[in-house]
Amino acid sequence: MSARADPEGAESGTSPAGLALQGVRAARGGVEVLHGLDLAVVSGELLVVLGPSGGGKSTLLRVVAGLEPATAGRVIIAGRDVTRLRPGRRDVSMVFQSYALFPHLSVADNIAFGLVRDTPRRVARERAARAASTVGCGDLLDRRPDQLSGGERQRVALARALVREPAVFLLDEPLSNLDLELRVETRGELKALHDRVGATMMHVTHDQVEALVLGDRIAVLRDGRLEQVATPKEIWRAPATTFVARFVGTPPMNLLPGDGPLRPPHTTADPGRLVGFRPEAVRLAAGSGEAGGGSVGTVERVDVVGEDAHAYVRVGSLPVVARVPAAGRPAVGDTLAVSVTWTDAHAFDARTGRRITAR
Amino acid sequence: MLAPYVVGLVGLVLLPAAVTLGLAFTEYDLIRAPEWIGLRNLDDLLDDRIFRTALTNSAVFALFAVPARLLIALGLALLLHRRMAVVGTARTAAALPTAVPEIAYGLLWLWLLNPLYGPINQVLQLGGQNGLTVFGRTPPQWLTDPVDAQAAIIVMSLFTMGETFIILLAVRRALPEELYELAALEDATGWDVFRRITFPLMAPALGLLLLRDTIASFQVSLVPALVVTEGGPPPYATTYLSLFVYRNAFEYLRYGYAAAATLVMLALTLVAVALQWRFIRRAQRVYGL
Repeated sequence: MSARADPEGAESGTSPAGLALQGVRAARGGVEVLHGLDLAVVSGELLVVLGPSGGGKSTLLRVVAGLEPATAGRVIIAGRDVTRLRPGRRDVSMVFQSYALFPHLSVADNIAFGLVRDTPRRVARERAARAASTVGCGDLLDRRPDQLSGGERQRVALARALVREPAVFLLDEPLSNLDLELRVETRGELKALHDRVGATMMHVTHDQVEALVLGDRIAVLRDGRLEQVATPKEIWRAPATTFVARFVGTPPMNLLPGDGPLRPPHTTADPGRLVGFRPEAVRLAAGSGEAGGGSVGTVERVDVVGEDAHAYVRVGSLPVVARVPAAGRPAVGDTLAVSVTWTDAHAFDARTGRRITAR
Repeated sequence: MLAPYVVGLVGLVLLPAAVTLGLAFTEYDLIRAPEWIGLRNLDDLLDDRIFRTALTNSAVFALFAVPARLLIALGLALLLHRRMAVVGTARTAAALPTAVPEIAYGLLWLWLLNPLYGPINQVLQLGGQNGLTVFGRTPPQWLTDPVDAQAAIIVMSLFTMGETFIILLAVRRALPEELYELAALEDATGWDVFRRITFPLMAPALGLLLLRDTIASFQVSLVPALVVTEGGPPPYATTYLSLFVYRNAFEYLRYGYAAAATLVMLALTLVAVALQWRFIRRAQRVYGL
C-alpha cells in the first residue's frame, strides 16, 4: 500500500490536518444522508470526493462550509473546531457548480466581494487582479458575468475563491458545466493551480476520470458512507469494495462468482468469493481453445469507442465485458475463447463486498 | 391574431382618449353640442383655487403613498420569502386587503376611522383619559381635520399594496440561492447582503413598480376620497385630481373642463415618469444592470 495520510491524526483536534471530519452526520428533509463520516484532509492536499449522484457529496461539502448543519460530529478546519461557527467564520471559500457570480458586479468586484469590508478598496482591487491573473482571467476584470463564456465564469469563480487565501477550498463539481474539451483543459489547469498554490482543497465530483487525474487522494462516498479513502493508484489497483471496483473504470470491472468458469489458476471454487478483473484483462481468441484456463463465450454486443471496442460476452450464464482494440473486435454472435490475464485480479467477499487481501 | 385587441384598444381606449383630448378645448355639458373655446379651459384651471388644491393634494399623496407602499411591500416580501411556519398565512394576510372590492374597502374604513366608535381611535385612546390619548392629546380627527384626513387616505392606501407585494415576493424568490450562500461564506451579514445583493438585483423590478405606482397613484386615491372623506374636510383637503375630474364631469356636467383637467393630469404623469425614468437609468448605470 502506498503512503496514506493518517486520519487518526485528526482525533486530537490540534492535528496539522487542513480539514478533519469526526463522526459527522447530516440530514436533509428529516432523512439522514451522512452516516457518521470520519475524514481528514492533510494540509495542502487535494482530496476528491467521488460518488454517484445522491450519495451525499454535496451535502458533505455544504456541511464543511456550514451551509448545512451537522446533526452530530465535529468539523475541524486548520485545527479549529468550527462545527458551531457560521459559514463566514470558518475560513473556507467555495466554488459552486453554477459558479454563483453576482450578475450586477464586474469580474473585479465579483472577485473582491469578500474583501471590501476589511480591506482598503485599492488593495482589494490589486489582490483581485492578482488572483485573476493566477487563474488566467486577468484581462476580464472589467467585464460582467453575462459577457463571459462558461470557462471564463469558472475561472472567475476560482479567482474569487483564491483571493481570500482561505484555509480550505471547497469545489462543488466546478467542471461539470463545461463541455468535454474545456473540462479536460480546465482539469489540468486546476491541478497545476493546486500544485502552485499548495492549498487544502476538497473537490466533489461524480466523474471518476476527474477524480483519478486530480486527486492526491480520493474519498469514495456512497449513500452517505465512505467506501474507501486512498490514492488514485490504490483506488484503481486495490479497490476496497465491489462498489469502488465497479464505480471506477469504464466499462466497470467484471465481477464473477468464485465458483464460476473464470477464476485464477490454482484457486479452489469458492462461492463465498467474487472474482474481479478489469475489461482490459480479458483476452478474446478465435475458436474454442482452452489455452490459459479460458472458457467459451458468445458475443452479445459490441460498442466501438474510438480506438477501443467494448465487447459484451456471455460466458455460460455470466456477462463479461472485454476491452479490445477496435480493429480486432469480434462480431456479434461470434463464439470465442475467453481468458483472463490474472495478474490484475481482485477478490471480494461475496456477502460484504469487501476486498479480500491479495494473495 | 392581434385584430380583436387592436379593435378594442382603438374603439375603447384610443378613440375615447382622443375625444377627451378634443373635448378639453370645448365647453360641453352633455346637453348642448360641444362649443370650441380654445385654451380657455386651461386658463380657467390655472385660476381655479380648487384645482390647485387638488393638484397639491395629489402630489402630496403620491410623494408619501407611493414610496411608503413600495417600502412596505418590499419589507413584507423580504420577510416572507422563506419557507417557514405560518408563512403562507402571513402572505395571504398581506395580499388580502387588495382583494377587497374598493367600495367595500372604503366603507370598512369609514367605520374604522370613525372618531367616536371607530376601533382605530378606540385603540389610540387606550390608557388616556377623557377621550385623549395616553400622551394627553386629542386623537386624530380622521374625517374632519384636513391634515388628519389626508393622512387617513394615505394610510388606507398602504394596505392595498398586495399586488406589489406579490410581484416583489416572486422577484425575490427568483434570485438564486447560491448568491446568498456565497455571501454567507464571505461573511456578509443582513444589511450588507441587502445593500450589495438583494437591492441591486431587485432594483429593476422596484424601478418599474415605482413608475407604475406613480402613474396609478392618481387613481388609487379616487375611491377612498369619494367614499370615506367625500373630498373634504373643508377646504377640499382630500379633493384629488381624480375626484376633481369626476365631480366636474359627472356632478357639475362640465365635460370640457374635466377633460382639460385630465389633460393636465396626463401631462404631469408623463413628467413624473420621465423624471423617474432618468433616475432609474442613472441608478442602473451605477449598479451596471
